[in-house]
Amino acid sequence: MAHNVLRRLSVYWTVWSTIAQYAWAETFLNRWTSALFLLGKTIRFGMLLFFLTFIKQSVQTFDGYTPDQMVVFFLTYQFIDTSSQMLYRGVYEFSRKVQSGDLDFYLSKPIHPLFRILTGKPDFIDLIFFIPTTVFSVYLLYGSLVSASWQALVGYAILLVNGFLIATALHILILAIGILSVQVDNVVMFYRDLNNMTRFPVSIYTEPIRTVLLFVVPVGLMNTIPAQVLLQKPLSVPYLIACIVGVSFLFFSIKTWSWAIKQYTGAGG
Amino acid sequence: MYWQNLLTYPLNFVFWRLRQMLGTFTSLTFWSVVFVGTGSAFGYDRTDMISYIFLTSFLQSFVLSTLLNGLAQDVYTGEISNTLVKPIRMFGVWITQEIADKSMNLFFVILESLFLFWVFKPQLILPPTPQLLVFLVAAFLGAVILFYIMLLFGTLGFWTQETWGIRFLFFMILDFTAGKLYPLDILPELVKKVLFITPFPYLAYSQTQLFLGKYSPTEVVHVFIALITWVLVLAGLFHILWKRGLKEYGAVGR
Repeated sequence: MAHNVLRRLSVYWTVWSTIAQYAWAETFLNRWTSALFLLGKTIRFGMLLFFLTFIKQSVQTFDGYTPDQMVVFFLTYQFIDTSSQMLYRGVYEFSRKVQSGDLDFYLSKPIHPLFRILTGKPDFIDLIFFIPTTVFSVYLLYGSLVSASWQALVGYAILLVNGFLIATALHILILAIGILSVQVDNVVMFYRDLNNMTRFPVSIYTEPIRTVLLFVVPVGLMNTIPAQVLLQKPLSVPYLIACIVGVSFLFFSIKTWSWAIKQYTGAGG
Repeated sequence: MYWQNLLTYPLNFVFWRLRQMLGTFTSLTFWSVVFVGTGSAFGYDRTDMISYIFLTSFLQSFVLSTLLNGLAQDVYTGEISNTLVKPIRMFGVWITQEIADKSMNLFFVILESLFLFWVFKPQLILPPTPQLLVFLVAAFLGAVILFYIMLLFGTLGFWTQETWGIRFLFFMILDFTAGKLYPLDILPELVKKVLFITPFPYLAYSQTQLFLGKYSPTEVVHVFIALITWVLVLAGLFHILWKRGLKEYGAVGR
């Protein structure tokens, strides 16, 4: 039993690492594009950080948080957003596969189609961006990390994992919508825009937007709650509820995917 | 035809419109919360800031919308041959497409703005007719500047297939320099000086300031000199590069 599981895992690893090697080669094939993408991402990261630092001059508190604490929310968002994009870039190209019928090829192979589609195009530009920005974020968060209790640090780590699970669930749901509607491009960008809203704490939004961001498309649970735990501030949603919603959302998304894939009729094939 | 094409995928269209609103909603919420804790920030009070963000977002939806994102790809894949061999002017096709796209955007942005207006209640006072006319002309020139910038990105397709990166970089910079998240005059003097030698502030920021009557008559003249200069420089550059590009054009795959 264990031997079979290990064998299966090794097959999946071989498939993913082969795909990753091609993606790596592609990154360096289009050097200029990759360099400009990297520069663009760095500018976006730097400009918002600059803005949050700069507003300190005139703004003392923001919904009960200091501008320095606002940076914690932004960096938490940045960490989860970049890590999920790094692994799940394939989602952005999914609609073309449904429209052209290329999805048929994934369904006929002995690899789970969800795995193949979700992780089928790792983004190495994001990886190159992720490493230095994470190191820089840890440097900026050093004060918050040092002053946090060990319980807060453990809670932060668990909620980051929970946030990543929610990001995974949302990407799976986008794929399911893609199968049903053959349209993903603006759905995935809509998710990105909703996620952008949580660069700031979700508590700034009025109802019903806040509830939508916490429970309907739980990007608020993904980014805001971990930062609140690290800062030891009152939580918008209790810690345990955040984890339960996160895990349930992942199960819900997998069930939705399984149902959606049964509706696929090979649109272009 | 363009409108029909757009509505072929209705879900995509609905999400696209929702996306346009979210950015504005976030900026308006951000500044509303800032002014809960303070009476004024960076020389703006709540009313001024909300009006500013509201107007800039409205203007950006019109000025920054474009269909020319795929032009470079059409060039390097040889797709433009289909238009080049027809007895119509390429330039006329682009203009027609842009008018169709902007009119569609304008229609929906008015509807969306009514909703945002209801939520945030900005205090917008319609300026006197001459000021309004000046604003409209400046908004038109802003749209022309973006039109030529997009055409210039398109011409890159004659020489390279790596055109997406530079556009991505442009839109990243635009995100922070066109004034949607914050007015550019709150930035440090040095940053402002650098920004104002680029076309970015002339796409929506300056027009908003014109509408709000923040410029003196001399500054209005300066803004118009800058707008016209950018239009002429970009148009000249585009026509030179397009002619050179057509000479090199190999109609790949045709």
